[in-house]
Amino acid sequence: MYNSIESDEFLIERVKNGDCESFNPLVERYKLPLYKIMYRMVYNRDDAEDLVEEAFIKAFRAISKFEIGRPFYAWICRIAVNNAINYLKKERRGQVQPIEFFEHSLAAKKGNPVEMTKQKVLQERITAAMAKLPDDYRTIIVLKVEEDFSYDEISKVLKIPKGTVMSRLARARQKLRGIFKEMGVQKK
Amino acid sequence: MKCDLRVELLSGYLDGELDKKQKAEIEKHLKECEACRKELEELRQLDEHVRTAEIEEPSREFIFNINRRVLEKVKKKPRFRLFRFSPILAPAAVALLVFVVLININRPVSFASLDERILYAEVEAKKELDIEIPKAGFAREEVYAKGVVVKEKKALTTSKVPTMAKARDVEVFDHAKKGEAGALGIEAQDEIISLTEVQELQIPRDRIVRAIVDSNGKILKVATGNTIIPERDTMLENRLQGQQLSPPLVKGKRTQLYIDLTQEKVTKN
Repeated sequence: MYNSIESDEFLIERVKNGDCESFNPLVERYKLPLYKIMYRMVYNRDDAEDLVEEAFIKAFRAISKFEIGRPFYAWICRIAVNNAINYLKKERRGQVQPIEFFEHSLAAKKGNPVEMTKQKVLQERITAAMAKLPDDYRTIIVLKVEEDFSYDEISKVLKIPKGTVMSRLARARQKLRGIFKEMGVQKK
Repeated sequence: MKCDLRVELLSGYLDGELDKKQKAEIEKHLKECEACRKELEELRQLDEHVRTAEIEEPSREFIFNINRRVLEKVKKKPRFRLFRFSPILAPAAVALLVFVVLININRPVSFASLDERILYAEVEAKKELDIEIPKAGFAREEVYAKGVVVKEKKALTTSKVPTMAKARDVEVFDHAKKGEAGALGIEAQDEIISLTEVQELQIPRDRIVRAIVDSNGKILKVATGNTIIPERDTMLENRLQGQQLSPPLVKGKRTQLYIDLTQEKVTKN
């Protein structure tokens, strides 16, 4: 068995040489960070879990293309985000948007504030506001604000020019600020 | 006070993505503009809010079993999916379909679809394909230009039996002995079969007449006309259908044949 001490490069080298089991520690290492990104993009637990699984499978099948020495997490992130973007474009059509779930959730809890701390209410409202953002705005905010990708990296993942990354991100922030105001998200 | 500084620049400054010159300009501007300082602070606050947004906990199934599920799936080789090639195959299939339709569009369906074994004798004759007539013991005395034997001859196994003939030498027999027709190709047969002249079929002389004869020598389809490809003539076909001719042999095997019964050029001798 392999433990967490083994470097990504070592494990990937083993996988490339046909040792499938060496992929296990990589899944273990990155499943939760990837889940976090996927969840932020689709706002649905089951979908996010499926997308993480798909990302690992796609990464495994494309492992021969991975260049040793480059960061594995950024690489698999790119695979996962692209997969999620395609999912949002294709699969979500006609389905219930996540915002409906959150609005319902908030409405249900409005009448019973005792059960929720102030912080909890704020978090839920922020989550609901994020879910209200258009998919492309939410994706770019997740990549920059949550994952701290550079504009260059975002440009490669989303296949848009760097200038577009800058302008889209600024517009996404403006939009989110508007939604925060509407929903009464107060300053900390 | 509202400032006309582009919001992208402030956002880019917050992300540390501006070049040195832009960064210096923004910093200078921020010192002078309170509105932009406030705006920048709001953007920082917004980012902080985003980072605190709730995340639903993943399921236990995900936490404990994703490794196993991923490994199970990657160990299976991806199935061959034909549809993966659909961008290439679909247009090719459509082109093939169109091609097949176009080449068949003017062909009489009744002839084309009757039997795959149909041999177009006229075409094959040019290739000098040998066609063997039945060994029923008939000596041919006259052969039409289009290859139809006319003279009657009552005999069985004679020494004059022509075993091989050209494609155009297709014999026409009387249909009186239909019952025995199936045995025509058998050498030990001892039935006497009379031949009739082709004129008895009363084939019109003013046009091309062709027929599909099955492997037992029975007329199946008839076409007439003045074009290279005659069209199906149901009236004549009704009259000739079932008439028994000799079973045509090609390279020793009985086969269905497309023969020419045209009478207008029957002038030899």
